[in-house]
Amino acid sequence: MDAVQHQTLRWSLRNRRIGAIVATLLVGLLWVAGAYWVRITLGHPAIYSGATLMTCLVGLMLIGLRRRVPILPLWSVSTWVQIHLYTAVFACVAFVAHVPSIVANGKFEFGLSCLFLVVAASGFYGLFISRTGPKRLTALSTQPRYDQISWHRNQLAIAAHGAVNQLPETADRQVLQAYFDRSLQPYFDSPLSKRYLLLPTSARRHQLLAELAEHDRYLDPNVMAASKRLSALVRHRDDLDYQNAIQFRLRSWVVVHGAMSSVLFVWSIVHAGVALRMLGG
Amino acid sequence: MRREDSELPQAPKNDRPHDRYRCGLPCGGPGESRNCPLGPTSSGACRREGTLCNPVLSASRRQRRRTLGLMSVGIMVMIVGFSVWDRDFAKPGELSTPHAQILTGQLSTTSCAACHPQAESSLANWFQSGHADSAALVQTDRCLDCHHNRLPRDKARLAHNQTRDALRELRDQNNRVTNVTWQHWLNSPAIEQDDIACATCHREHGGASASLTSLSDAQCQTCHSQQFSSFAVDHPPWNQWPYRASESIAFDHASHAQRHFPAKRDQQGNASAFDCAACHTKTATGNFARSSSYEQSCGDCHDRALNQQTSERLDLLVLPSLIDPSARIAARWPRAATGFYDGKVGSLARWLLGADNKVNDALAQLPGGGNFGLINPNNATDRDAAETVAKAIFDLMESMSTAGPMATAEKYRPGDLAIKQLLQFLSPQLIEYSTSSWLNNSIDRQSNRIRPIGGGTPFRTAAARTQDDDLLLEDDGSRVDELSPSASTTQDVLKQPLTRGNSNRRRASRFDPLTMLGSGGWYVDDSRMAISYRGNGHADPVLKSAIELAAGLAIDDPIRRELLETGSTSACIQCHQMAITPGPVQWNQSAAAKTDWFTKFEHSPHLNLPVLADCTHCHQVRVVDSMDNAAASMQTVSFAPGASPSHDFEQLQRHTCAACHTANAAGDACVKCHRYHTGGDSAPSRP
Repeated sequence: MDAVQHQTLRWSLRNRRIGAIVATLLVGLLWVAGAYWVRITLGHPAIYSGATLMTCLVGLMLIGLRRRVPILPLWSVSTWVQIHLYTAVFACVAFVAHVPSIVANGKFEFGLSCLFLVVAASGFYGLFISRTGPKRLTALSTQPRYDQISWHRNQLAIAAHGAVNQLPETADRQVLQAYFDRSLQPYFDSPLSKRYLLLPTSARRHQLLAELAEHDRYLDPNVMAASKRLSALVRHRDDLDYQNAIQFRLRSWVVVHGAMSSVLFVWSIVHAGVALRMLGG
Repeated sequence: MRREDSELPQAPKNDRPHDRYRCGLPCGGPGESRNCPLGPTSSGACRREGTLCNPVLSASRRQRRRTLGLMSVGIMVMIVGFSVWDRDFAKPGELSTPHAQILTGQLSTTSCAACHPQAESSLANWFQSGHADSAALVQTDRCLDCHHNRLPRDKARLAHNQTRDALRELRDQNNRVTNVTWQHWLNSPAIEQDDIACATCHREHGGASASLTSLSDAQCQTCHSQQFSSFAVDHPPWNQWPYRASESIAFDHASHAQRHFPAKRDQQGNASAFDCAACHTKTATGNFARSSSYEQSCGDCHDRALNQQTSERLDLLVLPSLIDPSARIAARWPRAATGFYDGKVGSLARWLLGADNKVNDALAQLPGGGNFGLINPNNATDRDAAETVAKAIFDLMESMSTAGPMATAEKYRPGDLAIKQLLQFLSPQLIEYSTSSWLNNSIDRQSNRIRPIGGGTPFRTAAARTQDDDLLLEDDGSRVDELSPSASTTQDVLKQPLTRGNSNRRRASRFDPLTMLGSGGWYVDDSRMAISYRGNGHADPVLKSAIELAAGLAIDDPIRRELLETGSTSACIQCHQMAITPGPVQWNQSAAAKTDWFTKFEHSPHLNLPVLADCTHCHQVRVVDSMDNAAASMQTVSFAPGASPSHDFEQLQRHTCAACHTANAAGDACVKCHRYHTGGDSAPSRP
């Protein structure tokens, strides 16, 4: 039964994607035909493509409005995202048709074209990160909220201190305590490094776990258990840092894409005003 | 121990992630175990009692703040960019090379405003529709500021620079359609035909390599509702193209090719070849000249006949004969011109005298266009008119004698250039001579004697001298050297006895301009009492002026007809028929074909094909079967007033061109052969 449902869902997604692609191609063909008609009737192809671009921008911006007004009985955000994606692809084609060169010469148009390229690039990056990031996040054992990651990090530090402090005063405890003070405490107490934020790697985790394992032969069973708990906390901390880095990427992409889109929209309105004002007559 | 086995505390449930602020205390650091259950207020104040914390922005608020910060930076960059405005700030695309060379060079300081009136002065004016400097201007006006030499402002915005009526007439001529058909009711053109901006077709900012003048067939057909699929299939047939182009010289190719040249034999007895290239030589640009000079092409055969034809006299004025001159002129009117009505006022004199309305009326009253010989002596009205005209002629001669011909021309016909050019070679001394000999030495009624013609004047004609002076008589020293400066002063002409009467004048040998004025010029004909001109073959300036004068008169003016029917002028008009058509006088054939109409053509690229190097491949002279038909053919080449220019070539067929001009070969685009701008010239009339 589940297999049938899964199959149905797969076909549904596939059909939806095919339908969206076909619809986009049809709209694109109609648009190209319209551009040809405008050109042969001595109209203004630049106005035609520019108006198309502006319409696309408005349509792309509407997804932000939809997210902020969830009460509206419109389609789901998922549908809006799909519309957003295909509209964006179509806007890129219209942009290529609109501009004489991908990067314009005038300073104003140079800024505008760079903005569009930045927004388009961030959009395509978003397409990538929104599909790979969640998979990587859900592959981990915990999925803490971004704003609670620091709380979790503190809790890990508290737990690590507790694991060492509750050990009896034995010789092998001194060994573990010395290593904890030297290597583990700075690790648990320090916030996430910018280097890890930009380029998450498990090298430090592997190093710490290996070093902990080397101490095992000097430890008796009680202290050994504490050492294993510290190893588990190190893995937790590393997972937490990884969550932090990936969520930061997703959130930063949204910030950059959203902010640049808004600037692009304002810049485009000014550009449209200037273009219409300077239209030959 | 696996990490899943390690127990960790659950995250607090009492936080509000979308709140603006969150607790500023560290959430349970080492040695601490706290969790503020209250959280900060919405304004960022701590709710705790005792030790307060400094609440910090929540993650969502920080993200929103970053977003707004980025947006502000982007918009600020745009605003700062506008504030540091320069000529390259707004450039939607590179200009085409011709415009870029001007507008980006040192000569131009206006940049955008050179083409965009809205961009004048300051940035603020860009968004003011009623800016004083540019309110009445549109971009097309700016285009015409530079391009007005080729496009008149009043017609620049018209489709093809022609009025709607002119275009409709042209269309009907092409289609041979005179009635309204269903095609006239098709959808109207996409753009207003009387208000087409330059930018409609010429789109700038496409880059240096973009063509401003390229126009596709589909774009042409935006306005041309009659659809053409290709040149070879459904282009309308040509009526007379390319032969409808304006011709200045009426040259009959058919009779020359089929009659005159075959009849002309060289020294070996071979017929001369009718070689197109003999007249249509190649120019420096590789095209063919429309014609060569008369001397080079025509003189050999036509010089003799033309000299003969142009030698026929052209009278400036003729002193008429009166029965009884009035008291005012009787004292000086020559006796030889007294006693009966005779003589005809020349056409040039009539035109000059016609400037005076009274004289003009009198001339109109005279029968036969100023012919005194047809006057009825018993008709008092005719007699009065004759008297008026005679007085006017008398005054004209007096004026010419005293003020000179040029001043007289200005007096009678102020500002007329043709009459001045016509009289520029007329010597004032010739007028003085004729006046003194005809009028001053008139009838001495008491003694009934007249002064010898030319007596006392250095400008006696040779004919008169041969009659008056017996060259065989010995010079006894009593004869005065007539060419000496003192001759006129030493001889008191009024005191000289009359040695001749009318009978002597009749006996005098008539001045023969053919033999004595071989190179042409003005002369006095004493026997007719006329001042006349003898032409001198091709390009005679006086005859040209006379024709130009006639061309400026109304078509039905009898003076025009008489002037043009004179043998000498009619010889010129036989070939220069365009000289008398309405409009500016056109004597010379233009060096190259006219290119300022809808069709353009260049010979040079076509001549690369050997088969096209033979002119007759395209231009076939119409075959004339017989001599009579040849004569009839000559009549077809006519530019007479009111007649349409014609030619003697077979009609050029479309398939001749379509053999090469297809889409995949030499191209069959509309603009391959047609030009859009006609420069506002009116359409040539068609046969």
